[in-house]
Amino acid sequence: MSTGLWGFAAMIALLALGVPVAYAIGAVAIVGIYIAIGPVFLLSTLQSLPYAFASDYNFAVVPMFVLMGALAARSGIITDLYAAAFKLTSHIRGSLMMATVMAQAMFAAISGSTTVAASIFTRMALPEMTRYGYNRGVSAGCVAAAGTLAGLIPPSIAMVLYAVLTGEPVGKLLIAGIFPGLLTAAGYLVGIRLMLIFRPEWAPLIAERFTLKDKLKAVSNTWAVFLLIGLVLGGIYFGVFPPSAAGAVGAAGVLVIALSSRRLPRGALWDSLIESARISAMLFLIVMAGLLFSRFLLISGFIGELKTFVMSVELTAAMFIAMVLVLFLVLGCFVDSVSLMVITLPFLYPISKALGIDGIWFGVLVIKLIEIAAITPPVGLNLFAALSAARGELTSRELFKGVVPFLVMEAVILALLIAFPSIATQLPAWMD
Amino acid sequence: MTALAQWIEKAALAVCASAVFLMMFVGALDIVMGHTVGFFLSFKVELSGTLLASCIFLACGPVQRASEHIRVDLLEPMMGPTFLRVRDVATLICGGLVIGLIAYGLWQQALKSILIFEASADTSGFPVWPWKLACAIGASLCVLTLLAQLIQKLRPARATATEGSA
Repeated sequence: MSTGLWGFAAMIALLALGVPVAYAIGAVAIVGIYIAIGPVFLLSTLQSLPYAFASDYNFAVVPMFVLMGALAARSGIITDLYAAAFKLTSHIRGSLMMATVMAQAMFAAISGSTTVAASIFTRMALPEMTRYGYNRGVSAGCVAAAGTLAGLIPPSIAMVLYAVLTGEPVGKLLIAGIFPGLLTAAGYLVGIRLMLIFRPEWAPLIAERFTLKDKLKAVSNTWAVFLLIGLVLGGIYFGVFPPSAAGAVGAAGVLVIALSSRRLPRGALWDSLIESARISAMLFLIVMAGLLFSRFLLISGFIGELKTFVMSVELTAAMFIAMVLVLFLVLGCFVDSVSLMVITLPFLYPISKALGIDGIWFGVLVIKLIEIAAITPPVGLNLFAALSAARGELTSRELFKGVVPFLVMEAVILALLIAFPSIATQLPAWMD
Repeated sequence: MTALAQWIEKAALAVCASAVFLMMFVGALDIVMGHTVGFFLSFKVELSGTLLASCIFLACGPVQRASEHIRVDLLEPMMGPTFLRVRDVATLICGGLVIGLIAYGLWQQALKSILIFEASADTSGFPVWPWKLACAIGASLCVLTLLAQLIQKLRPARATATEGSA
């Protein structure tokens, strides 16, 4: 146990110092394995694990999902989604916030990155909301919060990484995120409506009205996106193709849409391909280090002893979930989502299994908590994405205050997810 | 960055971008052909995996050079210049250890692969060894990047110390 604990302490010290997550976790794992079992096992692990992991076809979905989002962001598809959502809701108070939530939910279905969604929509939606006299902080809070939908609604990179770290089936995890994602989007819409009943001054009514013809035209402009969403999600759900192939189909689909509508700027494809490679390299290194760290914890006996300890104190599943909630909400304020999963899942997942918790449901819960943490001040990742994208037009104080109503909404949605696990587990169960 | 290093980085990224494009193309083509004419590409799985690995390791160097790695920077505003220097050196040493050992493992794999001119197990039999070699080269380039950054990081320290003593 002591080697494992020392390993944890060293990792936390390196992370606090600001050493990149991949290097901090990887270095501790390497030194830990060396101390625990010796150089022979360490070197043989390093000969097999990195290539075996990086060349696993199942994980080819990560660069493909990143590529999908990068191409969609560069090709202006988002503008169409936002315009359609705005025209549909323009007669309602808070229409721009609602349009942001709806467009982000749709964008989430073609992009797996929450921070990308938050920064793109901040640049697009925040100036609009400010122009119509919306409260800047609440508007930015809305954009940052709705950005988290990309974590749940497939294709979600976070879900794929959870699958890599735990061995749960990727396809089922991706599908499991659909209902919780839609529930979150619906929760935001209802929440915005209720919030504006009490605080109408945060979102003045917009005088602009659109005819049914305008609305239908705007929606029809987004047909390709709906087709793509149906193709990718339907393909995974009905088992027409595996998630890894769905990524390739989705990315190719976005490319075809962008090229056929002649909206892909010169060099955008190349930039998107390079962005996809760079982000994937960054993510793979972290997860690779996480897998090494898992092996270290297992070899050092930490996992086994932790399980025995958990059983000896008669920890129930409910108590464990409560502890996980606190842990993620606290740690999530300081550590980004990928790193948080890599640091905690090697010991949390085995305990959850020992307690008989459904791995798919636990995955959805973990992602949900991580996404809530991403909008929790002071260090929520999405808040920073929104702040940097606002380019000085927004103070952190305004944003931190503005995101509070959305944190309240998230608390309600989280309670529903815990009270009714079938929200997450029903769709994957139907796949069997 | 020297012109040579710039050229190498551009070349590495060009291979990465091409690999990602090929993965997308092959993956989509396999589905389209499989569901239209009933012909699935037998090499899809192995080719995509091989391309993915080379893309990941070739992109490591550019990611390191641009300091794009995720880090927890919560305490950074409280750190003085000395502490920041310690942080940077610790980063480069940890990175060197991790990537260095990964590069060692990849070279072992690449050399074994080259010796037998390893080809894919599927019917296409495309050569796998060049991609394994690319992985090893990519990781090694990242180690070189880390080494260059470490030397650069230690250099001003010496200069400052000399100035101080003078």
